[in-house]
Amino acid sequence: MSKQPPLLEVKNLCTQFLTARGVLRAVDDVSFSLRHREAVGVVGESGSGKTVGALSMLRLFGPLDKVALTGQVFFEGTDLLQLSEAELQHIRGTQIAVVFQDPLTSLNPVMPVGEQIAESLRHHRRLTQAAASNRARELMELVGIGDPARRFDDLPEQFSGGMRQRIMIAIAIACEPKLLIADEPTTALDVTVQSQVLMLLNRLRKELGMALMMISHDLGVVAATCDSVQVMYGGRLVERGTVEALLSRPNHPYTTALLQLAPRLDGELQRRLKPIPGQPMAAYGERRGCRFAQRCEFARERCLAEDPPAFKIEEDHFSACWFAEERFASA
Amino acid sequence: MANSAAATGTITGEHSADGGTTARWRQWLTSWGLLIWVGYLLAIGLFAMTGSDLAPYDPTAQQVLARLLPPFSASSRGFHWLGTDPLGRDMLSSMIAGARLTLFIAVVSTFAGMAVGVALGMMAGYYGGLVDRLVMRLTELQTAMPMFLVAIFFLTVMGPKVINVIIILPALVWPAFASLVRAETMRLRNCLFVEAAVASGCTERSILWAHILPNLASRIAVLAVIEVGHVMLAEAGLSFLGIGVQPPQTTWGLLIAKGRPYLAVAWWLAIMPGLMLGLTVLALNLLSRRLATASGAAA
Repeated sequence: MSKQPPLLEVKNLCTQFLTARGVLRAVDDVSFSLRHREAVGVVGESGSGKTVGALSMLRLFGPLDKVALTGQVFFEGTDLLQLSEAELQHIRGTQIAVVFQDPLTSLNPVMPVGEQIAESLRHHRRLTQAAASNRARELMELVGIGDPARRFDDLPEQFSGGMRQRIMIAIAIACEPKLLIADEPTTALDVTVQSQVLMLLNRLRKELGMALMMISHDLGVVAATCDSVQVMYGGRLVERGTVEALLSRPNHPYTTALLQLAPRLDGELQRRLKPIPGQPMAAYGERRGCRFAQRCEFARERCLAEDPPAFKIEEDHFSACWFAEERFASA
Repeated sequence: MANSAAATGTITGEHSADGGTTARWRQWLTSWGLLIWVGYLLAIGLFAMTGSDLAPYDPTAQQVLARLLPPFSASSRGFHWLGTDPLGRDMLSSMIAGARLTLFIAVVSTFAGMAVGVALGMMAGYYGGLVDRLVMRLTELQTAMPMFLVAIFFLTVMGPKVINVIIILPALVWPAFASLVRAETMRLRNCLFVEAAVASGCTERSILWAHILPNLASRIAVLAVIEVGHVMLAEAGLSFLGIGVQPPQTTWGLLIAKGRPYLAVAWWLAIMPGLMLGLTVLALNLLSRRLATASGAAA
């Protein structure tokens, strides 16, 4: 492992939404770091805070959201949460770019796609109209859109979902960011198109030397594209490790349960998928103890009373369970 | 005419996946009823542009022997399609000459009202909070007050000048733009493509200008065409009351006012400009409805 300082270091990130129903803790004390060129997958069920966590790093909230953000997000040494809106605007798109889940609505319906790609080049790179358009055509070619010269002026409605996601990716990589956040980039796509888009992301990551943060609820997607995995539950980071370690030696009971939910093509056909009983914990108000305790079959008294810290169980493998070491030894 | 335009309007529902826009525009252009209305509006626009050059006679030339001639009658000067006024001036020529100021006031006032309404509506819809509440209270204030009365008061105090008419008329139309734009902006603000634009580092200014405004353009255009008609009527009302445009400048509203005392003896003096005004407003409304269908925006 190189001694290079990490590209991204998140410390004690908390995101709380102040809503009419009370304080909603969407992201609760999350810390992790990401190396240059590393691809990390963030998995977790809906509402586990995986998307909000990523958006919090760039302070991407609607103008009407009342948000309280605490913690630190160091990106190449600067704390993004301390930057002014104008400074952050420059980071967004040039250093960190985002690909959203739904390509059908992520593009401006009345702006030609080429123009949408060229926009951020003109804005961030101060390219002329002609230079930006040329670069946009190159990018369209790079993401696999045939005949970019002809399709430059087409509107989003003239593209299929997969093609639109390719355009979103072209927009995201236009300024060669160091970190690409992909928020469920394949969820809205057909299975065959999914793998094409994943392969594209993988190829671009290697060619451009980007780090990738792949948010997904699909462990298969993460296993196919990432080096390491973070598992989130109830706004908490419950386990982090390399793909290999996490899939073969899952430690946290939630990860174990999640893996039992994944249908396998190479396993026994008769194996029944095992659902996790219960509901995720309400995200409002003060909470004590392990977030997963109420649904965990191994939960003991301590789990309900005290919040477990992240235990290091092997190199690059952390688990936030009071019995992490015990479970690791017995596995 | 209006019927055929409406009938073809209902067929326009089909959208094919590719070339949908082209197909819609082709259909739009081939509907004859509408073409007549558009032709009428273009003619009015041409009259407005060229002023009295296209008029058969000099609109100010008086002719004592040809006073109050009914439509389709001839004088020593020639044929008068729409008759003559009490000073023997050709009505058709006066109306063509009046198109210029009528249209100028209506278009400029609508644009001014549109600029104010769109700007305030976008700010209210995008930023919400205090700005939104302020703008909404202002539009409510405007709706609650009899604005025509306010306009009368304003013009009485400030004097009946064209410039004052252009200053006060936008006050009648901006709230319509503001509430439309506000609602649409609120919807668009939550669209993923706006969030994506923020995520790619766009400034608020470029989000409002490059992403939100173009998405509103067709709806704003539809509303603007209707509002030109409304403003035209309002101006005619003010000029009719004698506090709008003053002679020797003329608009259709002023022609109606000047014809009113002769209604019993020479009906054409008031009816003809009134008909032209009515037809223009009707044509604008039909055009606006058609624009709404063609652009896919609900009217």
